[in-house]
Amino acid sequence: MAPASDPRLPLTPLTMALLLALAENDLHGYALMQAVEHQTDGALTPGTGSLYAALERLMADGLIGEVPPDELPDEDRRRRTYRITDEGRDLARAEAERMVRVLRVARERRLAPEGPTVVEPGR
Amino acid sequence: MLHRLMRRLFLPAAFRERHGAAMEAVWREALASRTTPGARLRLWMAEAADLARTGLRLRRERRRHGHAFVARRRTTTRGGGTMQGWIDDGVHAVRALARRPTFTAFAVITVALGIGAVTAIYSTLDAVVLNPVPYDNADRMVTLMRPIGTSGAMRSPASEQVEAWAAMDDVFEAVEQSALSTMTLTGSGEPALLDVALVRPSWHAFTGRLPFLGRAFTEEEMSADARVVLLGHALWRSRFGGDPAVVGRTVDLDGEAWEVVGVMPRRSPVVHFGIQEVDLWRPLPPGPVQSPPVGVLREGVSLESALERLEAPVLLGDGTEAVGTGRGVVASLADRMRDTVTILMVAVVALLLIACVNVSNLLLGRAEGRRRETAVRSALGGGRGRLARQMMTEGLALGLLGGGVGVALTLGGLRVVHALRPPDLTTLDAVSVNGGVLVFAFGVTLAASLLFSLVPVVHASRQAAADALRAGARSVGSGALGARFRWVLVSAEVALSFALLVGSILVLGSLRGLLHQDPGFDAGRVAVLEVDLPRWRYDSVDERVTVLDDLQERLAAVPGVDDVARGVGMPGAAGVTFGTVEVAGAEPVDETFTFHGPPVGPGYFEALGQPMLRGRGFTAAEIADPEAEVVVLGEGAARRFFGDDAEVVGRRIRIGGGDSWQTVVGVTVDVPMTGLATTDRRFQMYWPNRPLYSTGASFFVRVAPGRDPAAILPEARQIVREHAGAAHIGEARPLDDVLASTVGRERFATTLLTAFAALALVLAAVGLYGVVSQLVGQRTREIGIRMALGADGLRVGRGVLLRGLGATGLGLAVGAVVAGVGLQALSSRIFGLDGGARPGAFVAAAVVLTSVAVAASWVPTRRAVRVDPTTAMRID
Repeated sequence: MAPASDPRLPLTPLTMALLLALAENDLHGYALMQAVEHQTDGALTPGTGSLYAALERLMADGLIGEVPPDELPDEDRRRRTYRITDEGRDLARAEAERMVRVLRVARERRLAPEGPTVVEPGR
Repeated sequence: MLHRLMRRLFLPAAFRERHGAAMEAVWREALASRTTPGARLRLWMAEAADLARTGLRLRRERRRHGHAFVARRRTTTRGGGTMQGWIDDGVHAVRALARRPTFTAFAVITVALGIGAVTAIYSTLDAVVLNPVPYDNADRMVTLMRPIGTSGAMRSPASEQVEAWAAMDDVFEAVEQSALSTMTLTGSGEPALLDVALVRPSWHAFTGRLPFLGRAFTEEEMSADARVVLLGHALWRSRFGGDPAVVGRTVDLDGEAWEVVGVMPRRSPVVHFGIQEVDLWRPLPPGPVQSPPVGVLREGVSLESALERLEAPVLLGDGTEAVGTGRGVVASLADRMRDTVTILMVAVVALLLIACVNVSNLLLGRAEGRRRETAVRSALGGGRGRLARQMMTEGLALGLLGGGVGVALTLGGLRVVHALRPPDLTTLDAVSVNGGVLVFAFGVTLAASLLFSLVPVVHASRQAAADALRAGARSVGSGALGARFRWVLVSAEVALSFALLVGSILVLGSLRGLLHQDPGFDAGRVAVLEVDLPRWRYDSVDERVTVLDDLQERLAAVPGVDDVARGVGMPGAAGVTFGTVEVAGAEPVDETFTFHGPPVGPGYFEALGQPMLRGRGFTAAEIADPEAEVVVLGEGAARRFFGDDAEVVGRRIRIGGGDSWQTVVGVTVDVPMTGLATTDRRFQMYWPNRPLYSTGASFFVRVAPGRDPAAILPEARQIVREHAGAAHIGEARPLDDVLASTVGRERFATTLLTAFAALALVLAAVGLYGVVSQLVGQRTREIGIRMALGADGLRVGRGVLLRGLGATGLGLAVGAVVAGVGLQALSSRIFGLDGGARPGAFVAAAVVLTSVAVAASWVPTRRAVRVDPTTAMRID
């Protein structure tokens, strides 16, 4: 599917933040909450309600899954740990590319500072 | 527990089922990561909002998509989802409250009093302690000073120091100098003495405040020392009618024409040791500045590291070296009031708790009354959660109503705070209900609603299941558990009001003590009149002396006046001298001392009725002769430097290592030089009042015995206006009054604390009355039967009365412990709580509370035993 036409885009900031966090590591609930906060410099601080509603939606859409307990170290087995799926990774990438396009236009309009060039989408 | 409750309230059951446990775990970790109570509170509020939002969104999605995951596990009696249920309950609650206006009004007023008091004190805390300086970078502002020896006293730094510090651009973003002065405004109406700030154009960047009309000063105007001014907002409104056309006009200041170039916004104080609002701004002339500069720390630079840099010695022009230091502006302002406001905050929180207990009790009483309804609904399958939620909604509706009324009360309450403001606490003027305060009030309202709904909810849901319809047709008797609980609540109320009462009795007593201490002079017979002769009108010393002498003579001639003397400043707000002290013929001491005391003229001690212990006061000849190096010492200072028995008069003393030695001509008693707030008299020293010290004088007018010193003030003012037209009159008050105003902060705290204690007492009495009368009401039938069977009314009544007193006694015991522990914790933080008369205060508070409790229990009891038995039997 061409990224530009994906009807699920743009993602909500929380959805994107969760996918980005999981793109690096498998994480459990509280770690996810922290990762989101950290990633966005505190701009996003989801409560438990938003967090689990978003996780449920991501699961239902097949973008993330739960890690089977036997893959986890013993001390983490009690907690549900989430992992991004390939589809989730694709969608996050599509969203990132969309953002790059937005950024490029913003730079042309001098709305964003010049910076290191980001990899061109589609390359 | 609370989180679970919130999840139940907001989230669909299925969602809770799937994620409840995980959410609970995450929440625990998130909460544990916050270390301060403030951060936790913010997290709680954010979480509650988040849960409510999520609940709404899940429901919306379900409606839109029929999404399976929010399908409900079971339906309630009314069907519909959680949110719909909430709305239904809300409507139901409001209807229920409207049906019982008396109950509702009563509960709302109780909640409103509690929330109003808490909000008023919080807004005070906000303005005085949390945000006393209205500038964005206020928390990085540091007053830069130069310590004087080891005395702990400070003075303005040398210009070399200021230069050196301004060059430290790794520490300071800016080092701003400004000065304060006064000018006399003439032209339209009475001459007015205005407070003036002398500033540079950079001051606007430093504070972030620009003129909202006109413009700031230009560099050219600065270097040319141009006659241009900016008007303060208050002056612009009062004196110029808020007319924007004032910009460009000229005004007469100190007899010269100055051009108005702009108007400054409200709340633009000058920052020095603290902050001060001014009437006017004018350019700061080039050259050294005689007031401390204020530095703005760079982001990330700590005060400690800045202090280290300030302490580095700087070489001065005269070859000596000087060190510097600094104090955070916000901290030094906040410290003065932090303890007082904290105590008041504790008091109002106690008051709010009492209010909550009262409402809790009312709701519990109502729940008892509705028990059959509850039981029926429960038996018909109304879920316990549903019933609980309904009561919760009712509580919340009550709370919100009360909170709204409470905020309205706060607006009134703040007028009281403003009216009680001690003169030296200008930050209190800024107290207002702003956005932050409203958010706080809302949070408190939610917390309070939760608190007072919780008890009845828990109680009802526990009971509803147990006794569904068990008790048959007759009304269900008062459950033992419910009744016991209500008595416990009454005891809690009594305990809290007892603690408050003890605190306020102690504080009242010590304020009385402060006000009634013997000042050492005859304050009751003396009036003070401060007169300032502006330089622009009376420019030579001789001219000023002639005018002051003339005024003194005229004042002395007023009928009823015994004596008039002159000085500068006055007891209660005296001048300060610092320095090392050497005594002729003794080893020098390497220590810096602080002396309090004003320059005074001849006859000063006689006019004030202040006894000389040895020697005499200054003679007219000593005052007139600038070469006469003489001082009068206070008792404490004489003892410290000359010992108990030595002949002090005639000995010589040198202060601050100067060239001249001072001869001690007399020793007088120590007086409250720094005001009545402390009984510590410090070292005192009086100087001859030489005319060049000051442009004005304080006249001390002693009236004949039995006359009121206040009564001569109008005539005294009239004399000054007639014979020194351009003079400005400052303080014109009886000396008693001047001294009393030095305990303004203590009076402020005491008045509010007493008011809160009185309110607490009323609420506790109302609570007790409510419980006893409901209890008696429920037992009317029983009492009726016993009376019909010939029981003695007195004995039946005594039973009820004793229960009321028992609850009171328990409350007193707990309250005594609470008060004891509380006083221990707070004793060092507020005047008067540090020992003395404690048992007395406890006993007095206990007597007051017990009498109130007897009255509150007796009234409903008496009504019950007077009921006609047949009426009683028929009830129900």
